[in-house]
Amino acid sequence: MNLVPFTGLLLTLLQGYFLAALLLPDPSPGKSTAAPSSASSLRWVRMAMVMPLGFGLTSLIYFAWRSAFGPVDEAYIAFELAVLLALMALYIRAGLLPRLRVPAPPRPSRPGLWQVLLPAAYVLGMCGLVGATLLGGALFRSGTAQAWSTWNLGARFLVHGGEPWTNLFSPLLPQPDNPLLYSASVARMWIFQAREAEWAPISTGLIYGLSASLLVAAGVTLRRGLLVGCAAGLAVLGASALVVMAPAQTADLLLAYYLLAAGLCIYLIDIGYTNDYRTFTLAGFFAGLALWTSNSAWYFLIALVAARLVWLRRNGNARRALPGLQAFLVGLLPLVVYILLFRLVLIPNVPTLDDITAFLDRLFSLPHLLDVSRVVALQLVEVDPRRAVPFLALLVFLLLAGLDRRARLRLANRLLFYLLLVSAGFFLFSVLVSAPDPLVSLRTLAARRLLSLWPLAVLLVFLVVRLPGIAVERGLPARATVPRSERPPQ
Amino acid sequence: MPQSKPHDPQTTPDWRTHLALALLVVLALLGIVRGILYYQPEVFLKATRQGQSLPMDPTERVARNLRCLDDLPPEDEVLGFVSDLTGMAHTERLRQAQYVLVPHLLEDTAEHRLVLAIFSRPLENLPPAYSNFQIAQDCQNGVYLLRAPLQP
Repeated sequence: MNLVPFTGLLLTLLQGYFLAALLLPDPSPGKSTAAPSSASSLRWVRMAMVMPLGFGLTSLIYFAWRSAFGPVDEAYIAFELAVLLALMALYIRAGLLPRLRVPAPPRPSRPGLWQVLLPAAYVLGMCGLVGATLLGGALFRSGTAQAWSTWNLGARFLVHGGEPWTNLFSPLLPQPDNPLLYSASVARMWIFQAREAEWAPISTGLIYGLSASLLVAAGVTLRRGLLVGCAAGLAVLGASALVVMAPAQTADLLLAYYLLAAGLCIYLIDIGYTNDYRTFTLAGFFAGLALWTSNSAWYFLIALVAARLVWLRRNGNARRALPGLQAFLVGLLPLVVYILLFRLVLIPNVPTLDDITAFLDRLFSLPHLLDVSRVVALQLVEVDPRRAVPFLALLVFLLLAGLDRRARLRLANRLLFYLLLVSAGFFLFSVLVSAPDPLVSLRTLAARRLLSLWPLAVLLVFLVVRLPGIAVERGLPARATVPRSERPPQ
Repeated sequence: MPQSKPHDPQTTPDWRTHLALALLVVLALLGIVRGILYYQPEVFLKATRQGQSLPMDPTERVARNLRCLDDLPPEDEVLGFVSDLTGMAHTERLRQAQYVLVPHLLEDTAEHRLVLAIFSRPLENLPPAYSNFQIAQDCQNGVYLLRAPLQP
């Protein structure tokens, strides 16, 4: 199959666009506490979701087709086009066609220092990420050791596997039970290109890196204005680990993005921006895509549920949260079923008694526990002066600028706090019990887990930091909002 | 003379805000530069300036060395793998060869009918451990496809 270059990316973009528009519509007047001025910020949130949603959806479709019907052919392209047309029809039927709007005239006021510097630095940061990706892609065309020993290896099996493609799940390979969002996305693009185009895996990392940064920027802009949004987007890119991982051709940035997106969707509801249950469904879908990206996302899902329960216990009536939970499950459950089928049908080896014993040994081994604690602490407070210390720098930034007094009242911020805290706990637990792979040091594993939580941490900090004269309060209700569906009865 | 506006601490950035934002911008841009430096731009610039091709990445080197293998068994047969490396370097070489030889599977043992052997340089004689193996294919670059001795 030799199609026009980038057809695969174009189809991904269109499917992602229609799905994002359907699941995250503009809030209806009177149903949201948001100010009309923040509607454009929501469009940016949606923009930041387009490609990751498209990659998620198309990888699910591609892998299902590959498993059921073998190597893809013209019929597959027709099927993907049919999905696209169906999404487009739903989009038109829902009356979501964009209307031509006359832009508001620019304000005549003279911009201050930060009004120029912050957006400029953010744009510069994005250019830096693009530059690092091009450079890394040019010099390490097959990516890092993790890429060719696991993620791109999966993509090659899917493309070149022929009949014995299920060798991909052989216990002779490292991590044969890895979910396949990344590998299936790359394989699909290679098939559209009719060759193993190097740009496919390289651009995937770049797209997710830029999308994560843009999503944080747009999410913060919704509540605190464009300048704080730009600062937050820049802070996401400022972790050199993220810049290094963009061209690494691994699934770490994908996981970081989906964790962020799931948390942000629930946050949008909790700040009263929308009470549309489709946003819960979108959150569930993002959590499902995280599960389809990496096995460690199961820890995140447990963390998300735990954080939500703590939040509801403190602030709401759990029974009233049922419709939201149902909508969340509508998005999540199909993917959970898909992934369970994938695991039960295609991955032959079930955990043996030896595996369980090894797991328990690691869990209760004091030397191992101390080793993990030391590695994680070193990763957090890196002694080497050449290394950036993103988490520490973020903390210093927060301490220096101070905490917004009103932030203490924002219950929804607490939800993000719980989510971050519980996720960090579960992720560190996953480092603790991970089976050792000779090519992946414990130090690398800890760094990757921390990177997965980095965008979420930045989002939280920039929602609560005190920045007088820079931050504006948009769409805030008079006091902290509990979604209508979850308020206790009067 | 125009009257200056009174200072409002809620709407005017204070020194802490200026300092925090300046720190953020500087540290973030430094972090991004550090990320770029990780990928050795000097290597790229040197190759571009001298009109040379960029250095091969590790899997490309292994792919070039394995290109001569044209007598591989059917895809459902697992190949053995041996090398003269040890520890992590051996595992790395195995995974690189596995990446190149998809959809064949490699197993880190010599107990298979056919064994892929990757040595650091071409050998005059096989090492004693494999002396009873037959050479099915010799790529002249240290890569051999060995056939296990017939079992009685």
